[in-house]
Amino acid sequence: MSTDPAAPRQATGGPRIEETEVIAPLVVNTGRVDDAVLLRLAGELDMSTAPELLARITALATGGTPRLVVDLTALTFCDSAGLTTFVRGDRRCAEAGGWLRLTGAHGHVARVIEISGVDDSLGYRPS
Amino acid sequence: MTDDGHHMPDAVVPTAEPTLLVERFSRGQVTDLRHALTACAEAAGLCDQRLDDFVLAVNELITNAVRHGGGAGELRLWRAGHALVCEVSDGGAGIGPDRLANHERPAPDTAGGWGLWLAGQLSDSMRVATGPAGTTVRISTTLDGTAGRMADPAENGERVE
Repeated sequence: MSTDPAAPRQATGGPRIEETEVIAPLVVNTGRVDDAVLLRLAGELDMSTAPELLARITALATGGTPRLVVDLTALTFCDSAGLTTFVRGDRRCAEAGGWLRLTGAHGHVARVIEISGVDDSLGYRPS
Repeated sequence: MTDDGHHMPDAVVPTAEPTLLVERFSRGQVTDLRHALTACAEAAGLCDQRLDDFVLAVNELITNAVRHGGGAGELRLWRAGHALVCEVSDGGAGIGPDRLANHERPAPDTAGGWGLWLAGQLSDSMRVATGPAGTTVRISTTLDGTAGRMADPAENGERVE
């Protein structure tokens, strides 16, 4: 079945769907901030979405841009798989002479990062 | 764990307390199951930080079952008085005694080992029954609780002078 995101999700003869759900659980937007790459995460970071993020970070680290600012402002969920991804990503960046910093975490995402202590290991400071 | 080394669920879900959610799951269903659990826990009266904590704790148990517990498992959620109880079972090879005995927070720069620790930190109680035939972890959270779990520094394994 082809999906057109702009098309209203209304099945003929079926129940009417009034609200459009976001299908992709994690969206990653890339930008630049000073001499670093900005990764804006939106959605949920768990074991199903973490591998893709780590692949993205690894590609940037090994592709000559190992300085990453990961913006978590629009991240609504982060679990142990997410924490692991930040730690591994930080390592990949460090191996390439760079760093990975987290910014914008709030609510429960900030809580998980703080109680795990990952913020200290990455040099993260609450914004 | 019984004498023959096989784990058994150590209690039957009380018949007076209706089960709120029963779901078998496998890899690929973690996110959907978490969303279903959130809706059920919220409908049962859990809210705000305690809801987020409980959902994350259960999420870690589901993730562990998929990653280390044979790739699949079963989740049961029910209400017991003023508490919400969730049990996640898998048919994996079990958790080693060293791992089970270690309640310390994993070093921040280690990639892994967070799951069970987080589940314990973010729930009011946690019990683990594990053996070569599988693992069952049961956690609970108080529905009308207001006390902050993180208020007790000893629980963190940290000392405040």
